[in-house]
Amino acid sequence: MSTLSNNPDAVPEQALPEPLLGQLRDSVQQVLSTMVDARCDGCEGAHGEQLRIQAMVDFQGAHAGTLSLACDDDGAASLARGLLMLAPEDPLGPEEIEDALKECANMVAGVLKTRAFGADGDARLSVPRLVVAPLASNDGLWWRVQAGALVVGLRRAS
Amino acid sequence: MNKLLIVDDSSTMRKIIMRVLRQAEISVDNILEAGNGVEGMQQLLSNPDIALVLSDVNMPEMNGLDFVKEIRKSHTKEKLPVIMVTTESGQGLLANALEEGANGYVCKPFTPETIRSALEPYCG
Ligand SMILES: [Mg+2]
Repeated sequence: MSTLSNNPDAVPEQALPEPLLGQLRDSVQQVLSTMVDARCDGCEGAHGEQLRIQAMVDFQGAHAGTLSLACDDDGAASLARGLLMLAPEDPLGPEEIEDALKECANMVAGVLKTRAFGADGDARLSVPRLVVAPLASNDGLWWRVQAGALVVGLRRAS
Repeated sequence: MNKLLIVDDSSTMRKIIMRVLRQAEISVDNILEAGNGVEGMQQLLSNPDIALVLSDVNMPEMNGLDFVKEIRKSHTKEKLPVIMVTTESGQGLLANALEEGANGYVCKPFTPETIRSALEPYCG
């Protein structure tokens, strides 16, 4: 079950102040451009994608909240292949895809923590976890990873 | 170099690091893996010839800071260098890691060049 729905105090991404939204965008971009060997382009939100794989990292401390990185099947596989630098014909199992998504969320959260809350800000990161469930809302920042979709959101505990 | 140990709870990250080592032409006879500090200590016990450790910080069971502290009970920095590879780039945390006995650190995300220059001093 999605942790987002476990968190009644969460606010949707649109409520994020612009500096934080920009820092989130820059953090994702930094991870994608440094670590992912795949075509990644920011894009407008789309609808109809089956975003059913989500990796989440919680921020604990003064800046409590949850970062979520959701993908459709194509996006998840493309992200994993890009991180692992696999050719299209190389085998890729579901466990590898899930681990790649979690590590990607972990890196984005780490970069965001430094960018947004300062190098020594009071924010601790949880170990990333995976939720396989349809994304409740398509709100968030969107990227195309090859032909797939990647949506990154941040919900803050009030 | 003889044996190198990569400790990270992400198998993806362990594979990425192995690929970067190959690309950087850092010659290692054998690369061992562990998913957390507890498994890392077990690897060190069964493989006393491990020459270098790369360790994540944020891991379940035993995190990287506790792991390096544990290593330093039996191995000096000179005898067994430990490089932290971490998403946590807070200066306080990194200073803490060095204080606990880490020889250096690399922040994720990293380029192959960053890993190469961090490892170069230990790879002859
Ligand atoms: Mg980790």
